Amino acid sequence: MENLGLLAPLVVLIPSIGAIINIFWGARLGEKWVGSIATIASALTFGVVVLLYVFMNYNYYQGVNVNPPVFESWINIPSAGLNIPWQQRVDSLSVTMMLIITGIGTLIHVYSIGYMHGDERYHRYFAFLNMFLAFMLVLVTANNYLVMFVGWEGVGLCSFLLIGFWFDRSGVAWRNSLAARKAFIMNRIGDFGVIMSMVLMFAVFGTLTYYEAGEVANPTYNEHLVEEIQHEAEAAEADLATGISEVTVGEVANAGEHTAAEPAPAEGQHAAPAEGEHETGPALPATSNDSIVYEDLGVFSRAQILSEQGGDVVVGPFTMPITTALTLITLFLLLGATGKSAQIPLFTWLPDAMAGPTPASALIHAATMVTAGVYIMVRSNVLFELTPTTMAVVALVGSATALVGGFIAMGQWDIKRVLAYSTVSQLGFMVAAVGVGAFGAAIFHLVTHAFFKALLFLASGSVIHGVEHGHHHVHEHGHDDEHDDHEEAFDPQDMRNMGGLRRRMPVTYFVYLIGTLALMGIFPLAGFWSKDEILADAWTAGLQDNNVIGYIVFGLLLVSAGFTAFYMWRQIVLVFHGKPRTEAAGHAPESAKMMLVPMLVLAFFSFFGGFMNTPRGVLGLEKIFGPHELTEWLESSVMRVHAGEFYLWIAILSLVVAIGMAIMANRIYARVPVFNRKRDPLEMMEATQQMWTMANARLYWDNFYDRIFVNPFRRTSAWLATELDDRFLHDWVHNKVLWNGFNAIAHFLSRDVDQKVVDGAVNGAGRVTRWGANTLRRSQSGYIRVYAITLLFGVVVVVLVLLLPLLQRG
Amino acid sequence: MVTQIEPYVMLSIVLFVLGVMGVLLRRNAILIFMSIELMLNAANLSLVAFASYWGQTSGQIFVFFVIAVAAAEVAVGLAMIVAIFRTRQSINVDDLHQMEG
Amino acid sequence: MIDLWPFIIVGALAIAAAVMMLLSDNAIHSALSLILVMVCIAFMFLMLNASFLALIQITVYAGAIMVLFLFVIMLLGNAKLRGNPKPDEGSARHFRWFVPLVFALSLGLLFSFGFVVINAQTGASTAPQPAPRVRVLNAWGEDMPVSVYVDAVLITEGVAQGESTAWFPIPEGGAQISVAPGTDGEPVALDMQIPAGEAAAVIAYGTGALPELRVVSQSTSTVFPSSQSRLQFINLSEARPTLQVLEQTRGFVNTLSALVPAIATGQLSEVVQHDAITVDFAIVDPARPDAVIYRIDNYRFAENDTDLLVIMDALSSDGAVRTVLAPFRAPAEAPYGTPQQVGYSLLTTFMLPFQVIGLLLLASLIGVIVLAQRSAKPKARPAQRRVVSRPLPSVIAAQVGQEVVTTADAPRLPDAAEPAPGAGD
Repeated sequence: MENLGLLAPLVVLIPSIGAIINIFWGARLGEKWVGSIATIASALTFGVVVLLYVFMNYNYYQGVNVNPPVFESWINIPSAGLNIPWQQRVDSLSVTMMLIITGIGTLIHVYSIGYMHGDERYHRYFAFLNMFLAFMLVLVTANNYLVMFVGWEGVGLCSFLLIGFWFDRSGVAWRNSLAARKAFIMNRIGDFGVIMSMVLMFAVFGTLTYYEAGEVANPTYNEHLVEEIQHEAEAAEADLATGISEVTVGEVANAGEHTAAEPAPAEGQHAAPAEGEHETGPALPATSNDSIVYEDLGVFSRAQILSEQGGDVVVGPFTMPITTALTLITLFLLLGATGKSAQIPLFTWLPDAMAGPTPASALIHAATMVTAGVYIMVRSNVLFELTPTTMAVVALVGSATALVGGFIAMGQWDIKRVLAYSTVSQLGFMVAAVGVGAFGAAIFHLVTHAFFKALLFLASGSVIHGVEHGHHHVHEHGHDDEHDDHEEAFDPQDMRNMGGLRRRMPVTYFVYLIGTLALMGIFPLAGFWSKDEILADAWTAGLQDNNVIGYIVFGLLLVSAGFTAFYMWRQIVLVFHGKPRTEAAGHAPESAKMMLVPMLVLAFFSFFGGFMNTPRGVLGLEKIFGPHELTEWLESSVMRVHAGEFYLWIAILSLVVAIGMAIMANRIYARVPVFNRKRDPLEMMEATQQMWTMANARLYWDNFYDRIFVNPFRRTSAWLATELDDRFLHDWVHNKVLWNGFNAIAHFLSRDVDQKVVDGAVNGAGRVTRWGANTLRRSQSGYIRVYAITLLFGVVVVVLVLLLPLLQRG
Repeated sequence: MVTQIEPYVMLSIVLFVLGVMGVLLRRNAILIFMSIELMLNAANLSLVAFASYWGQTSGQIFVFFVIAVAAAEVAVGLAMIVAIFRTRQSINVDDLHQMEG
Repeated sequence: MIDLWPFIIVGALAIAAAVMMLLSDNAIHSALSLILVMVCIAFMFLMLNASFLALIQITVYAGAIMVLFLFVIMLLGNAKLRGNPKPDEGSARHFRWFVPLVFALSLGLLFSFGFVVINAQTGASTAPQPAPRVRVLNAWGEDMPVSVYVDAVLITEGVAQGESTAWFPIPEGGAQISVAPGTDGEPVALDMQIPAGEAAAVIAYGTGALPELRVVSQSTSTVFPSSQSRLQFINLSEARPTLQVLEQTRGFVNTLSALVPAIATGQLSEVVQHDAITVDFAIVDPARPDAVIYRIDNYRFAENDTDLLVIMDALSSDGAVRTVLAPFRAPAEAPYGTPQQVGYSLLTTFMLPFQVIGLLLLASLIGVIVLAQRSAKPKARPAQRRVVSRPLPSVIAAQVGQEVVTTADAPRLPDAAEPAPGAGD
């Protein structure tokens, strides 16, 4: 049991193997094999993660470091004092992420088997999915920022590959490729932030490791934990003494039941020796890092120590106060997070990323990859907590993004684009939660959002699938009609082409409804709890710390929650209610079971997922599900997490807002059974026309970027290409200067230097040699005596030369 | 132990010069060979004289080696003379000037 | 001084024989004259103390090599080799300047060497003497090894009681010899100067806390018949003022006879010669010759050696002083120029060249065999092959019965009876 943590490398290894098999042999294996291999790899990984979860429970939620066998010293430059091991961190935060990634990932694999059926690059798609899983798991299991960055870049690559997956689809090939490129470049801007942040961190702290082996992530939590365990043990002893044999170890140490016979202790822990009678289960966790020297601490503990000490730090040529350095580090991290998690100002890539296959969008651009930014901020909670400035910026960026994303989503026609802006908005919620210090709420919302947003994407995929099939159906039956224009213009993702799908696709409608209600935050679905906790935490932040930011965030988020309800209900009405607006919609079939089953599973979690963190005092629910389970679980690895308070008035307020906005949307869109297919009712109303146009044009945000960055960049590069490269470099430098100059030098070298000087020297040497040989050959008479007398002559000379000095000395 | 070696060295020089003259003036290959042996003996004599003068054994060892090499040289040289005589019916060294350049 | 007259006679004989060798028309005579030269040189070797080389000279040179010469002359036929062959016209025309140049160069060589040898002050008039040698004998009463220093430089350490160091050279200008008990005890110093070529022994003796030193000359200049050994006694015993060394002769009745006269403390005895190989010694007080103080049985002499026997006081472990006789044998040295000495250096210092010379001899042996083989083969094969492989026009004509080539210079099959062309040129 205590060795289960060593399975962590498998989490990366299994999907990698799946990806490798599918990349190299997938084309030959056929769809069935490819799909099964990828799905089995994903499911196996999920199994391993479940084992890791069991291990965490056993180990009192204490995180451990795992060194994969091969990469023990990944980057080791002793002369530079640089030793970055490929180390994995298994703690509650990373296990949470792993569960989400592999769990939803497996469901989406299953869904993809149906959805991608018949695609010519089927195996490549599954290889990419597995590769994505591997890199995402590298990202979340990393124990230092550099390994994390490997995963960070890897998921960026997979995102690029999957967005541009249909780079050759007729008509939209360029759009898909451009979308992939846009995502990649936007992410590079964010990566610059991550790299800068890492460089600064290394300069300031001298390490990039999160936690060294034996380090305690949250000493306060551990103190409580140890007290509780000891208390439980005493209680158990007392019970034994009074003859009560039934022993229930408390929920904190509940794994102890199963492992009563297992020996102690878990690896990587500073073994705090257990009480003599308390021999079962792992050793009690350490409660402080005071015994560890600074050099053996990870980056977070070092940051705390340095921050307490105050003073200046030297970063290369700059000297700055530690607070400034930390602010810079966290701001750069925020820049990275805005890139990956699609926040202002780098969010514009995410809606375009919907060009990829819908299940990939569900997995990458809704549930997992885009949450990497939130994850890394939560992981760095210690750093963020130390810098109030950054926290304020984060809060504002998050809530502004939530508002902007929600607003734009109201004016979109594309079903996936609405969901994409919704994702941007919800990610804004999470970032805002981080900004007000509600790290637990951020992760909570991350988890629930992963459920229902994945569900919504899958369901929208199902809708698109159905409409497309319906369109093909219509086309096949009505090909006598002259419908060519119609066919080319048909967009299966445009909600104007849908309507009335409720009857055609009842299951999809059902799960879509659940997802929508969860996203709207309707009691008691998952979204209600998480969104409500964020709002409550923002309010608490404002109330307790007298922080204006908290109130601002609260207000903005409440408004965006209203937007959320509006655009989601608008979507429901446009897609499912009313009557079919096209023949395709009228003939759309329900999707295959392969696609429906994952959606149903996700729907289940979207409904009940919120109970994993029920607050206290709501209808006694905490007695069923336990109070603040997720928060408590996260507390072992996230230092500043705290159980949010529950304000009844906030819950009622947000419910009222959500339901009100939904009713409003219903009244606007459901009134007109078949409205003008090209125009939105809001657009036709005087009062809202301008607002709607703004939303439809995405607040001119992309146009603004085009004006400010893209077009000047294009003009500059065009100028550089034509003027500098073509005219100056090629025409003038290469042709005139280099070519002609080279010719002149070559002519000079060949005619004057080579032919005259070199040849003359060589021929002259030959002539001199021949003349010398002719002269000297006469001395070789062949008579021995001549040689002998020459020798004698030499001997006489040598003797004289040797002996004469002897004479003089005498 | 010898206290005076000039006479020995002088005798050695005279014998050496006689050998040189024999090599240069005689045309009979065997005679030339004998003169070379005479020169070697003269050199040996001075080696032994100096060795005795300095009270060192090395000079005598060297003479020992010279005698051994001379034996080898004589064996090969005489074999060559016989071979040449077989082909040319003459051992006049002046006849052997095919190597002229 | 060398023995002048034998040298002059033998040297003149050598030169005369060499000249005869040069001038003689008869190759046999030349060879015999050379043998005479070599015998003379062997005589010179003997005069130069190189007895072993003299023997080698006679056996290898005069015996083996010259016999080889005579054998070749006989093989080729003395008549054909007779006389100095006449120079051909070409060489006579080319080498008109040759004979004068030879004489000039030879005389130049002769006189330059001679001038140098006679006039150069190379120190050749007196032979250099080897550096003075010293050895240290540990006859100290304390049973403790000593260390020996020359001018504060450690020479030997751990010389036990009754042992002697090897000979070591000291500077001619004198040196300070120090003897220290143990490895780092306080040294006892002694300044000494001995001429080159001489040898001396330094004896550490006494029963005090530090040894006392005494120098005894060990020169071997006195000539003895080499088969005898020499003995010399010295009395360094404080406890017994006068002592006598007796020799015990074993026979029907064991008799004791005085070997040297009684020697007082600090006195050195005469050098006595002794024929015997083993001997029994006893030291007695002259006043009481029947009370033996110390005896050595079956003492073995080394040939051609001078042993120094020291009568010394030794402290036994209970502190009592005993008078003992300690023999210190001189380190053996082979005499100069003997086969033993030459062979020793040949097989130690010059082992590698010796083996290389052996290889050289082997190579020359193989070379001679190869030469003899090649010259013995007659040139029979090429003629036969020509007939087979290249039919000549005449052969073809004979076969077809018609003239093929009419030109006179058509190649002809050489007659097998004719000698091979070019052999007589």
